[in-house]
Amino acid sequence: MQCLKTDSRLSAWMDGELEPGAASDVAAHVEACAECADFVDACRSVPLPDVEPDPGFIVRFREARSARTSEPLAGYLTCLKWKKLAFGLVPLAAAMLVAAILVVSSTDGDAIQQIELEALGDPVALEAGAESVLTIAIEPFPDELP
Amino acid sequence: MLGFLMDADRDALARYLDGDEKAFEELVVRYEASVRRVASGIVHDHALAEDIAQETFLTAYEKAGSYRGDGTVRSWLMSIAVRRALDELRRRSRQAAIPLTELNEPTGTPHSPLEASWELRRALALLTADSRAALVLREIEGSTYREIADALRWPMGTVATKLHRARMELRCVLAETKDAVPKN
Ligand SMILES: [Zn+2]
Repeated sequence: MQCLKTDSRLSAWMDGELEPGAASDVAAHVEACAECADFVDACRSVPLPDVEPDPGFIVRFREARSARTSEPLAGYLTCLKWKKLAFGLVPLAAAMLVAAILVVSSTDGDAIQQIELEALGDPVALEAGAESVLTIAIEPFPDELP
Repeated sequence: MLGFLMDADRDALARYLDGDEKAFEELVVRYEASVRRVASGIVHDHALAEDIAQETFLTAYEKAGSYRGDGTVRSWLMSIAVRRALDELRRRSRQAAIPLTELNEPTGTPHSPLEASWELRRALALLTADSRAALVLREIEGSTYREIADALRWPMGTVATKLHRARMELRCVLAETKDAVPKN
């Protein structure tokens, strides 16, 4: 095998990113080649700078977060919470719609007309529960259409 | 242990998305040093690295829903940090190299560990920002090539080539500076 000093397979081997077959070829070469062995040693002994954990970081993060979320159009999470709240209201809205349909369908045409007339004439005569269908009852009837 | 952490990270993120604010702080405590280390390795400025790390966690906090779950939470955080750091360098128009005058000279005795670290910082500063980022991710954080490719948006096939070139450059620069004790 040609010297691997300038071959990216040497790095891939050091980093454990080669397939087993290719890895054993490179390992055999490094064992036999002083230059490649030197390179590998040098790379492995590079003392990269370290950073210690900082207990103050989380405190500064909380401050930055509160500063950020108190701004207008505050973060994604706020938006997410509204979305969650909105989705939470969907079943309630659906239940109200179903209830309204049931009330309308259980009320026959005469009753609606009666309520309308009573509402126009004598509001005191309105029976309990009529209010809930009042908005539907004041819709124009087909015979009033042009 | 790593598998446990990965699960714990995903669990913390899921709890946070479910409305548990404190769950996100577990990730901050667990990874703040790693994120600052990576940022510091790229920008070579501790104060700037702190800002980048804070921005990284704020971005993750606000856009937690963008985590797709195909990598680890840790590598997702690292990729945000790396992009922030590289953007910051681009913004400051010093992508190619940090001016060596900006690196503080050490006060330790010659060949002390402090000086070795300073020589290394000088050497790292001569690499391109992308190469520094790749080396820091690999050597300090032990990131896989897949994670490096994702973080730097490189094609997977170029990671080995670029890392190897960076190592060769680093080795050349370190060999040169070994003979000459720097004096300003
Ligand atoms: Zn060789």
